[in-house]
Amino acid sequence: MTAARIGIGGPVGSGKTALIERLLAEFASIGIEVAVITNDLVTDEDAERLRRGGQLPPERILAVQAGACPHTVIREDPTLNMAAADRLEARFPQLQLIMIESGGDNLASTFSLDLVDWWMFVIDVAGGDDIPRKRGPGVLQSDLLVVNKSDIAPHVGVDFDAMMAEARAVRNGRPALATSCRQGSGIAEVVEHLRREVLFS
Amino acid sequence: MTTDLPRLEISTILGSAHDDLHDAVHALEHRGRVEWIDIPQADAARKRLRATTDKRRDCLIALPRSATLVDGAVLHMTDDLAVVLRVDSGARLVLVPHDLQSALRLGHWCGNLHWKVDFGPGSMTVLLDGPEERYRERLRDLETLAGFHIREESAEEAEA
Ligand SMILES: Nc1nc2c(ncn2[C@@H]2O[C@H](COP(=O)(O)OP(=O)(O)O)[C@@H](O)[C@H]2O)c(=O)[nH]1
Ligand SMILES: [Mg+2]
Repeated sequence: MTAARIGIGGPVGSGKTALIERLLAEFASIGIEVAVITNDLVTDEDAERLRRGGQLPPERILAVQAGACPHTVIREDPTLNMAAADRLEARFPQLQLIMIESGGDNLASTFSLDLVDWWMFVIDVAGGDDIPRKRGPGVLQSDLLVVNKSDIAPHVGVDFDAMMAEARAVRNGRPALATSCRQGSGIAEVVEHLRREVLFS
Repeated sequence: MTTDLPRLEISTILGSAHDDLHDAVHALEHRGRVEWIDIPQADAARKRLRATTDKRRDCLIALPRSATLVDGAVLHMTDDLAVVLRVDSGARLVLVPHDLQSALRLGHWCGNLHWKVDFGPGSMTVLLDGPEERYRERLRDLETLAGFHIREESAEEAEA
């Protein structure tokens, strides 16, 4: 089976890289072969951070620089990311999953399905509990919405249950999951969801 | 919800029910042995998805990058069962600009909204990925700036 390609989008600082770090640990423990492509503006910051983390051999982490608005390389012209994914697949034929992290963007950012088979959108409580209500395309159209940083909801005056209920309501019943990448909660549910919907394993 | 019909793992497209496998699919259809998977056009670009047939059979689709899910794609074929894909291409809006200036505006506008479009003679077709009203709202904002109309398609045109 060819490796699944999934996208991870969402605003700057919502916890996309933190989620990838958590997922890498889970995938390692269940023996799923993974590689990662990061997208930053004009640096390789996230890729360097993941390489330093040491959860994957460094050559399984590629960086693509968007140069401009991050959505351009995941939607309007995803060829750079597609080429990076092809390179990873050619080099590591055993890969089962390639995760592509978009550079942090606004609520309108979405992934082209020419690039990924499936994508999730990560928002967090500190960005405000009104984010789901604003009905951005990323929030509405993603295959999975992740609401991260549940641990700090009380500190930023967010009623977390109400925020999750609103998120589910605007998505017409499509899935939304709560996580805290800091505490590790909700990660197992994300993995479970990915295994069922995308990895088939 | 899926039933306990045996799950299918699909890793290639075997042919087309509109073309090379037409007769084979047709024969199985007579015996009620064709199952259909319906997906919206927006999902057709995926190479991997979990889908359910009309008989609620669970299908795990994982295609090579070079394969494309198109209407009529035969995903499974034995003496006793065919599984065929139907792609609903219904959701689209055909925009007709009234003059060159308006055409430029219209193109620039839709481009800025990152809409997926197809170009036709004298018109531009927007492939909808979400509720139609969301698109019409954005187009209403443009009405004072450009002359254009939305061409209502007949069912046959939409088929073609
Ligand atoms: N309290 C808390 N902080 C988090 C959580 N997830 C991420 N962070 C922090 O939020 C900041 C941004 O995270 P990062 O993964 O770099 O976000 P990205 O820009 O979306 O990739 C970092 O300082 C993380 O440590 C969480 O669940 N809870
Ligand atoms: Mg990041």
